[in-house]
Amino acid sequence: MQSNQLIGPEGPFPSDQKTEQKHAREIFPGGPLVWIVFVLEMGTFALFFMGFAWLSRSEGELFRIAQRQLHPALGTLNTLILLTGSWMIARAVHAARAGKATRYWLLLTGFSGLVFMGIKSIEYLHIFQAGITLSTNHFWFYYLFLTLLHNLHVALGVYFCFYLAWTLPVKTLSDEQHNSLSASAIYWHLVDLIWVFLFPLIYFARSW
Amino acid sequence: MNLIYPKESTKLLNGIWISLLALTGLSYALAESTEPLALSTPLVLGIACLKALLIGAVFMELRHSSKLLLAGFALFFACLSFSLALCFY
Repeated sequence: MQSNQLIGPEGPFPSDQKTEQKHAREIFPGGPLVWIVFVLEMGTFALFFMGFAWLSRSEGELFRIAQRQLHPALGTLNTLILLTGSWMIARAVHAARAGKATRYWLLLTGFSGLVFMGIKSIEYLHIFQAGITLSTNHFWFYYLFLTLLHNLHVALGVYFCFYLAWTLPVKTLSDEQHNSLSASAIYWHLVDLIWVFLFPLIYFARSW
Repeated sequence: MNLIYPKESTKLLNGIWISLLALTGLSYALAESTEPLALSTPLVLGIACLKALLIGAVFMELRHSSKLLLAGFALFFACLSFSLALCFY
């Protein structure tokens, strides 16, 4: 199979259709709306990350003690699951471009999100059993607030995956349906990218 | 008009996925080693930045998009990693 081959919903395009190729390359993947959401969401989370890092500097000992109550192995497992979800939705987009069925990949992506939330629930259970709440200290406020907010995003991503798996036709997709799939994939990658930074911050980062 | 779409090879997608898993394992190993390095925090944040770039360039197909979008994406995550790393020192 040729890499970077340009194809349309009805199969490969001849290489001389440069105008159409240019058009496809200039647009935002998934459309501009999902990129506005991306910038706003990522920017908001980035500000919270900076707040967390700044407090970690001034309250280093407290943050280190609180971090020891977390389970880095579970966090790592969750990261592996979410990254696998990202790969699976990228495979769904790939399958759609090749005119193949996307349902299988979308359902697997949705299930990966459910597993992620399940593992996170186990962590929350341990934390709440220890009597920790949002008002315990700054670390736990940021930990609970950011991870719960992230979980809401995962839940929305799971909904998009199952909705698309249910509604998209088995094989050939229209341009609009291709765009919906790409936009949902970008959203899922956004959720993944937020976790990619949240994971080292809450489990591993320490001030020196 | 039927739009045409860039198509990544399956091998590349699989390769990036394996690399992302390996980088996550490396972060865990670095941070949880019996004698953590003084540089482990910037290292794990650097790895996070690398993972973000791989996801953006390949999974989000930014390498087929405008160069400006890809550059902006890379700059944002590089600045975020660097700023976060600075906060911990």
